[in-house]
Amino acid sequence: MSANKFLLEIGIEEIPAQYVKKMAESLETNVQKALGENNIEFNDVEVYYTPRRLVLLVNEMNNVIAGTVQEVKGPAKKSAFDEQNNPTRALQGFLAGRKLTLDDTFIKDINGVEYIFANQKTEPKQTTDVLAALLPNLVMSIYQPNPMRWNTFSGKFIRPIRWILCFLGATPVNFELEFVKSVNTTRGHRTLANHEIEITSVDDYLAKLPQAFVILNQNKRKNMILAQIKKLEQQHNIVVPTDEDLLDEIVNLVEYPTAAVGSYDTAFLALPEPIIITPMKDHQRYFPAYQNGKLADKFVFVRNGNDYCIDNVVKGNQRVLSARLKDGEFFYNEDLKTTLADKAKKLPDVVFQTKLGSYTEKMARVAQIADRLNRELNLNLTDEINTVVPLLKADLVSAVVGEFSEIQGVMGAIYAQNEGYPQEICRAIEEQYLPRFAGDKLPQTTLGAVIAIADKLDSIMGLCAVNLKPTGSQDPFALRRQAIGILATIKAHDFRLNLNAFITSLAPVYAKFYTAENMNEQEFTDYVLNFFAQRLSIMLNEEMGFAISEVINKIDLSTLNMSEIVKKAEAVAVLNNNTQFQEMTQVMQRIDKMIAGKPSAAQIDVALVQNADEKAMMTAFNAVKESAEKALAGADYAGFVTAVNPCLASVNTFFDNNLVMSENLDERANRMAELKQISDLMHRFVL
Amino acid sequence: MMNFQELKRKLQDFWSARGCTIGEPYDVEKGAGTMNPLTFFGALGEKPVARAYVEPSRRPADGRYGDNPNRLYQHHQFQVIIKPSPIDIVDTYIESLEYIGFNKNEHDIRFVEDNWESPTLGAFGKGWEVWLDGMEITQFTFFQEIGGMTCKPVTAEITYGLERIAMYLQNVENVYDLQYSDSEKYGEVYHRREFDHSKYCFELCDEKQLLQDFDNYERESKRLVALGNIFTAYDFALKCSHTFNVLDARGAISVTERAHYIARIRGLMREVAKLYLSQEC
Repeated sequence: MSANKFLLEIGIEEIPAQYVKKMAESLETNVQKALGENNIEFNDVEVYYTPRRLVLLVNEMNNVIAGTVQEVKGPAKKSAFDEQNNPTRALQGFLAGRKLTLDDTFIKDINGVEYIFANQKTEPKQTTDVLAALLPNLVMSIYQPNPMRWNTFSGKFIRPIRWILCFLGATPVNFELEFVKSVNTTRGHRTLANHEIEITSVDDYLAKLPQAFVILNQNKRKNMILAQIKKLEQQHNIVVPTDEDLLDEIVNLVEYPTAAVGSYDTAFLALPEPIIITPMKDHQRYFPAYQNGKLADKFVFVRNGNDYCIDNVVKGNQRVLSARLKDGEFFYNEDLKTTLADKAKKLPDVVFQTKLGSYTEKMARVAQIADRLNRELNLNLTDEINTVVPLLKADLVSAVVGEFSEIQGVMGAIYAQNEGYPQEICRAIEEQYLPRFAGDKLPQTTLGAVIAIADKLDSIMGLCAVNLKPTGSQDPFALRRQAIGILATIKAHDFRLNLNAFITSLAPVYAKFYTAENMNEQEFTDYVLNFFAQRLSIMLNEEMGFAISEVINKIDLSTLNMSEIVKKAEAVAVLNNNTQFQEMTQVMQRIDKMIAGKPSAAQIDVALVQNADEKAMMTAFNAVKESAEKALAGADYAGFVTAVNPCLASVNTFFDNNLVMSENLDERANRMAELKQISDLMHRFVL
Repeated sequence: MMNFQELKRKLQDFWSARGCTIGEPYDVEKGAGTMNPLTFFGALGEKPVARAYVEPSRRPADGRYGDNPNRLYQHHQFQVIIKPSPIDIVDTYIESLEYIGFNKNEHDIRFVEDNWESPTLGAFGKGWEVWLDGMEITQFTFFQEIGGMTCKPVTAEITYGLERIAMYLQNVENVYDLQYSDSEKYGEVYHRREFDHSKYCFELCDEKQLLQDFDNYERESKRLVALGNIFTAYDFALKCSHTFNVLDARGAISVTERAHYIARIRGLMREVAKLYLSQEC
């Protein structure tokens, strides 16, 4: 069957760089699905995206959708014809509903009953006709995180759609949206070739776009930028680390990239690095350059265009950066006029959250949490905590952080250093916000870890107490990420903390908040614990790679004791194929099934143990108990399984040879207590 | 070399030739061209509009006593609004840059996502900031809501930052060195004024009096809304907004109160917008 290339280009006024990739991916998914559902044979789908267009290319698509013949079942023969052998209503209805005639039917025997059958045919269809009907909906159902309206239209899209170009081979696919009709023209680069370019086929399009200064393939643009930067590094004797996120963003800001080097006054190099780098990267999308391991007075930027008059562009960018650095310098010098302690005096006026009060109030709670954590873990950090907590948020009122909020904490640490605070205090101020995002570095110092945990825990418990819980896709305070941050920090520092008990003990700190929201202590605590257990499960699965049913569901997460849970998960993942472990879980399940819902004695009465198998079981269990407990205490779970193993056979023997459910109710309750004791021990490892 | 007034004139010529009514700056203090009634009311309702004008915009917190080469208590915006937003509005905007002297092939023009929002106006839109060789020269917005009311049809708003553009065109590093006309520099026209207003906002203003003024203006705006007098009610809402900005620059309003004051101004704007739509003039 004949096949052709298919192309859909949606021309859009500059698409926000952060969304363009996801949009293209959703287009690909939706189109693939629709093609499959409509029996359109295709092969090899690619999506491309630039700031101005989303493009879907199918390298092979059949021009015609083959006709089909399908056998359909009708009424039974005996109810299909009346006595005069005329079709009954039932048969007439069947035929009319499918646009069939009596000639299309035949009779087939199913389990001794004769039924009317027919061959239902569909005619071959032109793919372009089917696509024309499908495409409007496919375009409009592209993932749209933050769409807008324009002109008089009611529909929304990420940014105004300017044109749509669609071809199957050399045949235009004509369809219409509220905003535009598909056309046979595209446009080139915004400034270098912004005229309409007539297109006659998919191949024609692919040939003409590069001539119009559009590099369609995002990977190609990325490689161009990297190669250009490499060349600049050699020419200027600089090293330019290409931050992956920034690079991806830049790739989505240009259709035709040209990298160039700019410079700035070396005097600015006296400023703290974050004040230089933040405006460069976050505001201007420049890559800072280094020489001999130190920040150099140079930067690399990427122009959306070619190198024509690039000196103009370099000069312009230098002016902008220089103005921003001057601002930064001014703010920094302003900040140096007061101490962190002075700045902290303004914090009662800075609201953390309306109901939870100011940052001063938050710090009082953080101090409490940090102090309890310090005592719980015997860290001996009381003095350090008392020194650092009042300074933690002082940089929020600094002029530099007012301008560059992304370097909160970092600036606080710099100011603390300037004022001569000890290294660990400065580090903790910087580390309080770590990790800032998934995969970010964790606090390295113990004090930093304690402070980071306390600050995040206060945010989570506080915001949950005032009912600002994350719901669905809404998590404006990033509480989920903060919870994972806490768990990861606990793990990295191997803090032996029963987080469940810790959170429970902190609940009263938030009493006035949750009470005002009509929650009681139990409801509040349950919510927070459950929130953490869910995060923990996701973290074990997504970040640490443990399988859900084989590993995570076998472990009790409710203690939230990170170090223990992770060790258990690691052990279970390894032990799953171990015979002794399988034997243990089988015995455990056998016991659990037996004792479920049955009354058991409060204490085991040795005098009631008369049965020889039962006696043997208890002797065997008592013999392994001590070493098993020891293995548990040392978190040696493989050792635990080995230790328990010798008693398992005796349990099975007791079950196999005896009626465990004794007629004697006292004996029965006593046996339940014995079995529970055995199973309880094993449950201290797995559920 | 194009002087500052020439730049304003060229933008007026350009947009006038494209059917815009050339308006005048509004004589009540305000922080942005959006607050000129030509835009606030122009963006409401269904009637097509095309307007362009210069707007002196006061930002008390940006005052620097005339010491900073880039920040001003009052800068000038060139504001264009067209409703419904034309399909080729971005192309037309780029033509306007060429008209004022930026050959598009000699520069790097970018449209970087920026979703404008004005909590006091109860307004937000989607759009971009436009970068010329890395410098933000224009805010480009498609209004989605203004005065808390849905914008349908949608108005396109183009706000040029005149001082920045002029500094680029004249290649000067300090705003006060701009050639305003053939006879005067920007500094000669505005430097002392910058100093006085900065000193007023940061040091001399009477906080108590201003807080009282705010309450009075608010009351007056509400009273006039009740009497169905749209444009005067709006003027008093604008006065609230500017008074608040001065108090905010002075540091006289705590963060908690801040949100509260903003909500009060937004409330006034909303009432005025509702009244306007109920009568659509």
